[in-house]
Amino acid sequence: MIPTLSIPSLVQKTGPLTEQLLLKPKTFGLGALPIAMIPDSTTNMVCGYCSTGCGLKIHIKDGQAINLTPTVDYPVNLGMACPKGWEALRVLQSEDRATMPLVRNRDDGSLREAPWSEAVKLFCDRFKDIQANHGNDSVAFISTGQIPTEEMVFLGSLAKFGMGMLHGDGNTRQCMATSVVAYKQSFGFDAPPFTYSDLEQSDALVFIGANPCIGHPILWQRVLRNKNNPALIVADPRKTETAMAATEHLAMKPKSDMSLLYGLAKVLIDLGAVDSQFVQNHTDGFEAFRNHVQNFSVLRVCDETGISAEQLTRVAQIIANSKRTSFWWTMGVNQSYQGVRTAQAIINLALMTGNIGKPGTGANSITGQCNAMGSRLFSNTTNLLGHHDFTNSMHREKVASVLDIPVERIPTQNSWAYDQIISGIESGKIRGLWVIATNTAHSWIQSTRARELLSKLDFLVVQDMYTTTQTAQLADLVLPAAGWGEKEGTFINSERRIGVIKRVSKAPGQALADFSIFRLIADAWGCGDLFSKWKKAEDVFQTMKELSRDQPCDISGIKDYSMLDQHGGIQWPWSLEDSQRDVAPQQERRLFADGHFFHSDGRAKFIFAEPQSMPEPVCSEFPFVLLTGRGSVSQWHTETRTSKSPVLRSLYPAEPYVEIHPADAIRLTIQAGQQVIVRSRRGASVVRAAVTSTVQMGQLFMPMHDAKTNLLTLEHVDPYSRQPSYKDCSVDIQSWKQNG
Amino acid sequence: MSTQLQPLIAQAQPTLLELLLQEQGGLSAVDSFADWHEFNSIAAATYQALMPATAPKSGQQYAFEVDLDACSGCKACVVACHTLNGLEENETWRKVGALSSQSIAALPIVQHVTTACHHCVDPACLNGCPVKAYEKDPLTGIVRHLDDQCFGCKYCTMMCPYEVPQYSSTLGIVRKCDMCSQRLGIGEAPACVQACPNQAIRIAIVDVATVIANTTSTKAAASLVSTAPPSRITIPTTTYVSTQYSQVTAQLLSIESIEDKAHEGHLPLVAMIVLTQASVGIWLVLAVTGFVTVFSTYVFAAPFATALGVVGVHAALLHLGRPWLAFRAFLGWRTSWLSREAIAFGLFMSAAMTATGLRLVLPQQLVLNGLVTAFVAATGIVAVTCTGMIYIATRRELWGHLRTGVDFGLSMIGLGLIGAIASMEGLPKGLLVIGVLCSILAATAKLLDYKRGKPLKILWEDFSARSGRVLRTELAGPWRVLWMLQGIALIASVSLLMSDFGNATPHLTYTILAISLLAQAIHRWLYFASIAYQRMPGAST
Repeated sequence: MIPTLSIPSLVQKTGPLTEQLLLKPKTFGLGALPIAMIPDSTTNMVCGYCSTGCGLKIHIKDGQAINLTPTVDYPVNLGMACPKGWEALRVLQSEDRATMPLVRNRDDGSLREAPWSEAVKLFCDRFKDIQANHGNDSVAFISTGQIPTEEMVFLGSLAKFGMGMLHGDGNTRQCMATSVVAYKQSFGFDAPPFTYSDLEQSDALVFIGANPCIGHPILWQRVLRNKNNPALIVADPRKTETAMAATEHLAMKPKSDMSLLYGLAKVLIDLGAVDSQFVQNHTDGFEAFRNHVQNFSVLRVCDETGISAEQLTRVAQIIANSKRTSFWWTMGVNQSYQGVRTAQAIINLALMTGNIGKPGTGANSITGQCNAMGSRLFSNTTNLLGHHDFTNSMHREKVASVLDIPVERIPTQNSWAYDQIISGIESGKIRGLWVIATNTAHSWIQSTRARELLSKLDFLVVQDMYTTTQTAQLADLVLPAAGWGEKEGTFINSERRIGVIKRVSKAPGQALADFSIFRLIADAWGCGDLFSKWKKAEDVFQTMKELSRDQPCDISGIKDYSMLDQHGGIQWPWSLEDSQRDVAPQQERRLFADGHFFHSDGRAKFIFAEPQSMPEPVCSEFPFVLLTGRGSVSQWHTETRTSKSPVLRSLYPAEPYVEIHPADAIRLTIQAGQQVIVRSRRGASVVRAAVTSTVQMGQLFMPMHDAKTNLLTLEHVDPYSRQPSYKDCSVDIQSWKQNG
Repeated sequence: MSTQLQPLIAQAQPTLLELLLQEQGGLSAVDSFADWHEFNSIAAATYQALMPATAPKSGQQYAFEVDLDACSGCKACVVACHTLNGLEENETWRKVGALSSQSIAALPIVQHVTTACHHCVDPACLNGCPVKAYEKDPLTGIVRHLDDQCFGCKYCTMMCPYEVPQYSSTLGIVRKCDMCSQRLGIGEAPACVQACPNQAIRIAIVDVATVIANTTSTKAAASLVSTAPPSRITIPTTTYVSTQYSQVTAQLLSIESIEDKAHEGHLPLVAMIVLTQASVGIWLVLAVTGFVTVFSTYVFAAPFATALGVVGVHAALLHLGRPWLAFRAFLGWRTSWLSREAIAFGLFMSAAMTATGLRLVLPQQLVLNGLVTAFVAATGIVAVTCTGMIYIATRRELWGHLRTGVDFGLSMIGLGLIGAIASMEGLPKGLLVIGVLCSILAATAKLLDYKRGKPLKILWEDFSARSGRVLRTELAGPWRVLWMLQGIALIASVSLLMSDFGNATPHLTYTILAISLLAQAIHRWLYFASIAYQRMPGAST
């Protein structure tokens, strides 16, 4: 503050500094706000981080978003948000935002700014050149769960139908692929059956490999609003915040969850807790499943999981005695080399006890990213647009007719998954790669290999908001993208709710919405005519409605964005028939109330397998199991966004760390806070030691947000879902002294 | 249409790129969607249960009540407080710390602790404030900071055991949580209460007498949560409720209680303390020797000592965020040692300047000069004592009476002797060695800390050992320089004593003084930087 010329008084109780913090009460349905932050209008949209899909009320002044508060009457979050949501606008303002296309000079490795016209031409010339020499399928794309569905549709269509690519996958492979395959095989469609109010209506909630307190805090809010005083069963090797709140914490050995779940199934059968009528009328394969779990005696399960017989029985009794049990899982299950069968082991428990289709029940996968569900249905990667099948000619015909494109444009083969595309670089089959809104060089498992291979590409294009991502650092061409808040579209959240995002903030420089970038590229590539009816995101939404028709995810009854806006988001399905029958969609709807599943026979299937042991067991040289996961609520994935908010940065440790049990720390003379080196067969990372008994002896935990973690992980995937298994590899830890 | 015209038309029509860039610049979505809801009562309905139904009665006040079982560590409260109060980019009035079990035998536990101002019954920030920039509301008990009254001395950041007031270098003042008193005034819940998804924070009404009884009577060691500072210091009103972790609370440690980092060294304060101690020390020597005999160079020592004091006192202004308001410093004299120090040094400096002038004007008035000199020394000792009390009053163990008293006393005597030897003639040179030894011995406690500090630590240790480890690690460099300088001063002073008296130049004694002042400065800087104390979980975030 500058001293004023007037003589300062001895006592000054008010003045300019006091006024800085003065609040003005109650404007626009908001509470009191600082006077400088009073908006002149507000608008609602959904958050762009995780799949919870919270509603945020954006405060607008002079046409620009200045602040936000969580939307009070949105059915998801009821006026609450996590720190990421509160700070969602702040991260748009950052020095390292991409504002112009950047072109790499291959001689000296430097990046220079280039006009869009040059960038788009380079994009087309290089990719066309590679395709001409190595075939159309030598160029692939890696998409994301972070962009609106409309952009996914455009990207997938442009890449496959316009540019002739065959292979494309999304970073959703890293979070949700397992659930997709598990649901598809068990239910006949990728259909998470629940609605969030199920969290409030259960008598018992079972969380497997999930820590909603940290991963999905607003879902945890819904758990705490459950008025039934529910039993909470948490299966997790770590004593997480969620485990702290548990009635029963099953602190089993890493990757022993299949044995645990089969063991529970056996005890439940022995207790007579099977809903025989439901099993008989609506499922298939229970007898075989019953025979299978007979092999999982209490003795065996206790041995394999480290859980006591008493606790196993107690947990089974809780489930048996509970009227409504819901089962919830997330990355602890999905990111596993046997994730699909583990998820199905959970689904089996719900099916056999009849805990599905009723309030407070379900085998429920909590999704990761804000639009993972959009990607699952509409990204045109694994599945043809609208969750159709590339190999099915009728499906190709349908899609071609909706899009009004020649059917020959649609590939008849399935795409490679993410890991196969990465390996394709190694074998020389993939030469050009287009990465959109994801950070492969940081997040892909065993990242030393991934980085090496990305550097091998003939041409790497990265389309991102920030120029500093580890992947953008490797790119030959960086395309500057507008982010959440700077463009329009829809996201689909964990409970199948479609919510709208809007353009409330100006993108910096010449950054463009991904949608606009796709239009530019389509035009320059020469296939713009194929997509000429898509002028804005909402045009694509109308196409999506047509694509979804007669699918379980039918949304043809949703008129437009303003209808989504009015109803607080709408869950799929909402078909034309639904809309003709009911005036308005109910805010909380679940699937399978009629016991009818999406397999042709209408029955759900019991699917199971023999548990496999970890491919890289601990040994004398690498005696610790390394667990990875989310570190704090304030961090998101590779932190390209969250690290741009000073407040968020203050909410988690400044330096990467590894959690170690006190007994191990004492044995290895490692002190809290000191630097340690964690080594695996693939790499080494120097981080700080955090000593805590919340990890078990012989296990270490590292948050996934720092790039150092994936230097250690072992690339291995689930054979059905091809989702990487991030949470099991063997490592060693030692204290690290810089001076030798 | 002629072919010549075609390029012109092409230019007039915007390209696709231009169209898209134009579209990106507009905010059409906002125009088509903006809504204008009237006040929505749902928010109010959500937090109504978390608010008291009535205002506090006499003998009561508002207080935060935290349900630890419900606090899952999401930290939405921190960000909501930051956003809804329009705080600076890095400013957070609420913090969330974590306690976890460290011992092998204990149950694995992690417990997050959300914490803000505790609106204490006996607020140390208020008591310590030299400019009366704090008020405790007589009706609500809310401790409010008067931002425009603050001159940015940061003393409250040391006085508050919970480190609640936050200093902003851009504003030049501290700010803190006022329990959203403006919101409470209109029946709205504080930002943190509104924003907690788990409804873990509520506003309760507490009986002040009960709070006092709970924190002071039987349990001297009572604290808000495990590892938090003792509640008897300020009698905080926040209540932490927990059913889960109470049995094992003693075994829970926070990151603040395991990992120590160097704190701010406060350079302006270091300069002020060292120079004023030297000044007072020399005046002390002048006073003592003045009664014994009159030395010929008396006239130089007095202005020299006064000059050191003047520089020192002014260096303190650099510590202030808004130094032009320094004249307010005396206002808090009833409770603040900082106000008392300001008054005492004001008196000391006036007396010192008067005494210096008097000596010039009336050199023959020996008795008068002797009495005035004694008065200068006396006010100086009072002032240095006030300085010491400033840190003693923080109730940090390593700044306790004995440590600070011995440290400050020996520093003053040591520097006084060295300074006097340099600026006066005729004093026995043996005093120089004694002066250097005093200056060295002032660091005895730090030596003890250093000795007790072990390089390796996992479980609980006392503050001395924790301070020692910081000295051995992060502060090892300055620590080495300190002892190098002390060593040089000692060797130089001893060799001076052994050598021929007459050949000793004043330059050498001034050099020894300079080295000792520098050593004292590092020592004082370490006094601040190597402090380890009981910290609230979350304080370091």
